[in-house]
Amino acid sequence: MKTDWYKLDSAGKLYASTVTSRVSTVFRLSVNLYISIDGELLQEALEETLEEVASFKVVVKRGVFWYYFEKTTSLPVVTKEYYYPCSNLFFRGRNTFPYRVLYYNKKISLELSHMLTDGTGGIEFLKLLVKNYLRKEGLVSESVSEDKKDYNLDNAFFQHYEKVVPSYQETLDKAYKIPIRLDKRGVYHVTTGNVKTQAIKNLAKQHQTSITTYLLALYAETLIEIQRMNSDKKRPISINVPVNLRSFFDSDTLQNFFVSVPITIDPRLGTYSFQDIIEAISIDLKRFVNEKQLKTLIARSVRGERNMLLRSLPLFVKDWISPMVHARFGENYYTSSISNLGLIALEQEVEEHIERFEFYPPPSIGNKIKVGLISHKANMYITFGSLSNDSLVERMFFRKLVREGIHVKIETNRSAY
Amino acid sequence: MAYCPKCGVSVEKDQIPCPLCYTYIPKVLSDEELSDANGFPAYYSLYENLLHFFIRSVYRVLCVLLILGFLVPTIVDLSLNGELTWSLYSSLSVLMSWSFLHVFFGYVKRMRNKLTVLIAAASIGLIGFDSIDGYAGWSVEIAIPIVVLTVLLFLANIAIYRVNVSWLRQSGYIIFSLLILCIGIEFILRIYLHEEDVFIQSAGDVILSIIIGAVLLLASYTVPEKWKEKLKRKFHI
Repeated sequence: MKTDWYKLDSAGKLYASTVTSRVSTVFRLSVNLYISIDGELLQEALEETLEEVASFKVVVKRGVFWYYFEKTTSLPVVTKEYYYPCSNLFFRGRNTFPYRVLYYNKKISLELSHMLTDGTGGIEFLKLLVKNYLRKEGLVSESVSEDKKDYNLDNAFFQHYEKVVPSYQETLDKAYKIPIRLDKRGVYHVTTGNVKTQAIKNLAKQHQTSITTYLLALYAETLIEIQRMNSDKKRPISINVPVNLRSFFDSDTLQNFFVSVPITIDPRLGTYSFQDIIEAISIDLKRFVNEKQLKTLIARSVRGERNMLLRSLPLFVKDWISPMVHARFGENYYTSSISNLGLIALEQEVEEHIERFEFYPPPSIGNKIKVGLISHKANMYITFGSLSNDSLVERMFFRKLVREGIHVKIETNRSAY
Repeated sequence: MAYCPKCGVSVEKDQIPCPLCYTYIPKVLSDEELSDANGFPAYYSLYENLLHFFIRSVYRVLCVLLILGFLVPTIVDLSLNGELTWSLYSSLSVLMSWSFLHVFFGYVKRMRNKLTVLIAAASIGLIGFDSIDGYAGWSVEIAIPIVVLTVLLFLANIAIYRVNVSWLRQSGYIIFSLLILCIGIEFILRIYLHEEDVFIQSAGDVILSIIIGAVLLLASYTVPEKWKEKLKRKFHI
């Protein structure tokens, strides 16, 4: 039977209720072209893309116990950028699209709520959108997006959940929090550092490690230094690293399919040299990022959502307690998060017209600063999303990179600009 | 390309502070290079307008209620008695409340102006209440001195709080301020009632507070190192 509604996936269900004025759970993927964007053509391109990916033609509705997506015949409207990046999508009720498409000069931005999809799903949609837009502009041939994939909104967590696998059990200590003051509600500062991927790769090679591990270590070192400067009492530095499960388990879903892996460095155990940090992080990553261990994290996500007590609470109660539970038991164990979307590649014909991709992480009150990484062509874009006007972390991190001999170009929406 | 001399990072625009450390970056870019950047629009917060709108709406609703609170008693009083009698009290209360609301909703800027408006409203209100039923004098002789004394002590405590060295000292000063307030009120009342003995009658009751306050202040100002060491030795856990 053809249904006209979808359930949210296991992670999305939990994300949906945590939305508050500070925690929008909205992240942004944007693409810069070499030409100025025409709003009308973009609207047409969006409509065409939604025909291809019909599972995105949905609005968020309230059920008695959970939110759900309902298919709709109405269409989202592209608008010029006006509000801060990653602004809340649902602040006037929830009968809206779980994403928005914006444009400014040469940039097309797609802002998605985490209840719909994760970074990988979002990138797939944005790729289609930009291809359709370039076709409308007449810059690429009609045949460019022939290879139609079978996009679906299956809950991949369920498909790969095994009953015998125990849940991930380890409990973390309360993590160190970066001592910066929150800015006004709705304000979100992004600072993007543009670096050459090859340069970072060479640096990582010097330390015999991967790019992600190297950047994680550099970030951890920055956070340890900030803690040493600012507080007498030491707490562990925990960095939340989302792992895309599509690379470990076979799935074509456009819904969320990732788990968060905690990477912890505990400065209470002694002083860490940079090499020590790299070793500790490599061990943590090796320990978690393999098919067997990831199954325990999937089991935890699924069992968390299938918990009878949680399921039986009415939605308004969930909406009320979830932000508190999320802040107390979710974000409290993390200092910050680094999310790497990896290298984005398109067909050569399309690639010629694209300058870059960017990824802004979602704002969160528990982790006031989050980092998003994305690579395109020879460049890597390191974006810090911060709810504070204090640029302490960004300054220390990028200065470290510069000291290592990397050329960094900074772009930001901070007030001085 | 423009560089920050301190951070060493390159930036999109020149003649502005560095986005990371706010060091001024001199002019090096040509206009062509500047126009090439995509940049960011002037962003607005989704909540900015919404919050102001909400606060303004609440204030307006309260203002309408206050106007009703002024008009209804006045009309009822006039129609029943043919002149303004008891309704003057409610009208004066409404006027005072409106002044307070105006301050609390943030329509008066700067702390000094806020305090002035609040004290002026309170004083005018008290004198007004006193003079509605024929002047009795209690407003000038009791109420205003008490208000002035309270405000002075409050300001003194704020000043001490600004340079707060220790909470022991702050607590000591707060206890002494409350004592002074109590003694002051008693003094003012006795003067008004023309009693013979205007000095404090209840010395026995306040002696405990004096001792606690004095101990706190002494402890905060002078505890010899020798004592500290002794206490540490005896009570270390």
